[in-house]
Amino acid sequence: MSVNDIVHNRLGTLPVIGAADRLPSVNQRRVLNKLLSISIYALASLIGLSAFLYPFFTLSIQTGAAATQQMAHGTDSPLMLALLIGLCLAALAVEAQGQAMSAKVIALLGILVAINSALRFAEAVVRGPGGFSPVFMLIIVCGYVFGSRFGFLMGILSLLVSAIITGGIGPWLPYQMFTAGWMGMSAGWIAYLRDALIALKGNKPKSTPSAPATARRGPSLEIIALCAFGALWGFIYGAVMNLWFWPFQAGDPGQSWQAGLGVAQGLQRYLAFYLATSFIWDVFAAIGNVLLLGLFGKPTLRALQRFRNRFMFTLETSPSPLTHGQAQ
Amino acid sequence: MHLRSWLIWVASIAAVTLTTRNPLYLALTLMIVQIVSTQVAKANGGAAPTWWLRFGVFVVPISALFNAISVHFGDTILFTIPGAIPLISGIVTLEALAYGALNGALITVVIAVFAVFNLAIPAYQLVRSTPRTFQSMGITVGIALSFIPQTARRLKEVREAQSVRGHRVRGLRDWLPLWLPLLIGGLEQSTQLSEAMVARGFGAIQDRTTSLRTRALFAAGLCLVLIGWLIGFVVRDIGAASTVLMLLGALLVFAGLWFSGRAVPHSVYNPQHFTVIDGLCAVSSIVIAVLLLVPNPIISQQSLLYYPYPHLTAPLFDPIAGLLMLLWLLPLIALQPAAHSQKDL
Repeated sequence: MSVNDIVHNRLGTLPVIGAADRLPSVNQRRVLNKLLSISIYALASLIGLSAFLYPFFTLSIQTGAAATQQMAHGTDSPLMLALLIGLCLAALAVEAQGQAMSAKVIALLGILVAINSALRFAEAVVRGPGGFSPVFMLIIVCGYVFGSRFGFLMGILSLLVSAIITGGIGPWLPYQMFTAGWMGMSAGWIAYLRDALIALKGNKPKSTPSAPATARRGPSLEIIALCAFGALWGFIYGAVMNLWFWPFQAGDPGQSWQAGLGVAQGLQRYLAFYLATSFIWDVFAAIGNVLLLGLFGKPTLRALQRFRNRFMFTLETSPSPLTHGQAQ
Repeated sequence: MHLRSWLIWVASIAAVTLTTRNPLYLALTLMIVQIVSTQVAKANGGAAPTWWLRFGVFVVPISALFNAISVHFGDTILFTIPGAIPLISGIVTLEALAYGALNGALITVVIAVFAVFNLAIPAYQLVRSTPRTFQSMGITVGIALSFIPQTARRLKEVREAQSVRGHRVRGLRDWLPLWLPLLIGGLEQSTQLSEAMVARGFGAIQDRTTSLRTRALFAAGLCLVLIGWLIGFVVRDIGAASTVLMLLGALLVFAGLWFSGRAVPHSVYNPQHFTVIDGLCAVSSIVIAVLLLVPNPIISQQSLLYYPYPHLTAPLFDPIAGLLMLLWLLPLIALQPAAHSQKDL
C-alpha cells in the first residue's frame, strides 16, 4: 500500500487498498460529494428559511368571498410548511451525521448534549428573567471550536434531548431544533471569518478554520466576537421562533397575520407584534448570552480547544521513497 | 401501544385541530384527548393529568378578552370603549370575542394532545425507535440521556467539594468554579467512552459516511421542493404543478432516507411488536385525517372551516365527522391490557 493510498480525514486516517489505481475516480467522487454536500446544506437551509418566512410571502389581500375563503384556509399552508421543516431537518441531520460521526465525535457530542440538557432542565425548574437561557452558550462555543457541522448537531440534539427530558415535545420542537442548529452552524463561520481577517492582514493562520489558533491577543477578540454573536442570536432566535405560531395568533389587526398580506405589510405587522410582545423578553436572552459568554466563554473556549488539540488530530504522512518502495 | 401508532394518532389530531376553529369539534377533540390521557395515566399507575384544562381555563378567556379589546371588527357590537386610546378604543364585538376564545381553545387542544404523547411514551422507547438512518444521532441521544443523571450527580459532587474549600454561590460569576470542573470532567469521560466504544468494535464494520446516491437523492429532492415552492409563490394559477413538484421532491428525500437507513445493520433487543390493535389505531387515525382534510363525497369540509367574522353564526356540526372523530378513542383498547397487567402485578 502506497502513501497515496492513505485517505486523510479530520478525525483519523482510513487506509484504502488499491486506491492509487483509481485515484482520479476517488478525487472526482470527493469533489462531487463536496458539491452535493454544500448544495444539501444550502437548499435545506433555504427551504427552512422560506418556511419560517412564509407569512411574509403571500400575495396581496383579496376582497369579498375569495378573501373569506382564503382566510379560512389560512392555516393549511403553515401546517404543510411545518412538514417541510421536518423534511429539511431530516436531510440536514443525515448529511451532518454522515460526515462527522466517529466514536470520538459521538461520545463527545453525547456528553456535551447531556451537560447542556441538564442546564436546560435546571432552567425549567428555576426560571431566569425573561428569555435568559444557559443552553445557547455551549452551542455557540462548540460550533466555534469544533466547526459548523458539530455546531449544527449540537444545536439540534441539545434541543431534542432537553425536550425529551422536560416533556417539551410539541409542534414547536422542529422549529426550535432548526433554529438552534443554525445558531451552532453559523458559530462555526466566525472561525472562518477570523482566519480570513488574519489572512487579509498578511499573517498566516496558525490553524485550519475548524481548528482555530489561540493567538496571544486572540481570545479576548474571540470573546468579543462571540458575545456580539450571542447578543445577535438572542434576538434572532426569539424573532424566528415567533414565526411558527404568529399565523395562529389572534389580536390587534395591526399586529396579526392574515392570509394574503403582502411582504411589506406582513413585515410591518410582524415588527409591531415583535416589539409589543417579544422584544423585552429577547433583550434578556441577548443579555444572558453576552453575560454567560463574557464570564464563562474564555475558560470554556480554552478547555474545548485543549481537548480538541489533544484528541481531534489529523495524521499527516509525508511521502518517502522507502515507504513507497516497501508498500509496492 | 406502539410508538408509531402514537405518532400517527398525535399527527392526525394535530393536523385536524390546526385546520379548524369550529368550537364543537374542538370541544369534542379535547374531551377525547382527556379520556385517552386519563387511561394512559391509569396504565402508568398515576393520576389523570388535568393541567392543560387549567391552562385552557386561563388561556381561553385571556385570548378572548385580548382579541375583543384589540380587534374592532364584526357586526354584533357589545359596547364601545370611548376615548382615543391607541389599539383599545373602539367597538367591542361578539365576533372578536368568539374568535379570540377559539384561538385559545385551539392552542389548548394542541398542547393537550402533545402532553398525552409525552405521558404515553417513555424516553427509552423514543430512543430505541430511532429510524436506522439516524443511527449515529440515536446513539448520541442515548448517550446524552444516560449521562444526564451522571452529570447532575457530578455537579453535586463538584459543588460539595468546592463548598468544603469555602466556595459559595452568590452571583453568576461564582458558577465558574462549578462549571469548569463539570465541563472538563465531561470531556475526560467522553474520551473514556469513545475508547470503550472502539474497543467494542464500534465503527469497525461499516463506513458510515453518507453515500453518493443518498446525497444525490437529497440534493435532487430538495431542489424540486424549492422549485415547487417558488412556482407556487410566483405563479398562483399552476398550484397543482407546484404541489406535484413538492411531493416528488419529498418522495426523493424519503427515498434518500430509506437508502441511507438500509445501509445500516440494525438489531433490536426485545423488539416491541406492532399488533393488530396498533395497526387499527394507526389506520383509523390516517382515515380520520384524510376524510376530514381532503375533499371527498362522504364528509364536507365546510363545517371545519368555521369563521365567526363578520357575523357570528352557529357552527355547523356534521354528525359523520363527529362519529369519525370518536375513532380517536381507539387507543383505549390498546391501553386496557397494560392497565390490567399492572393491576395483576
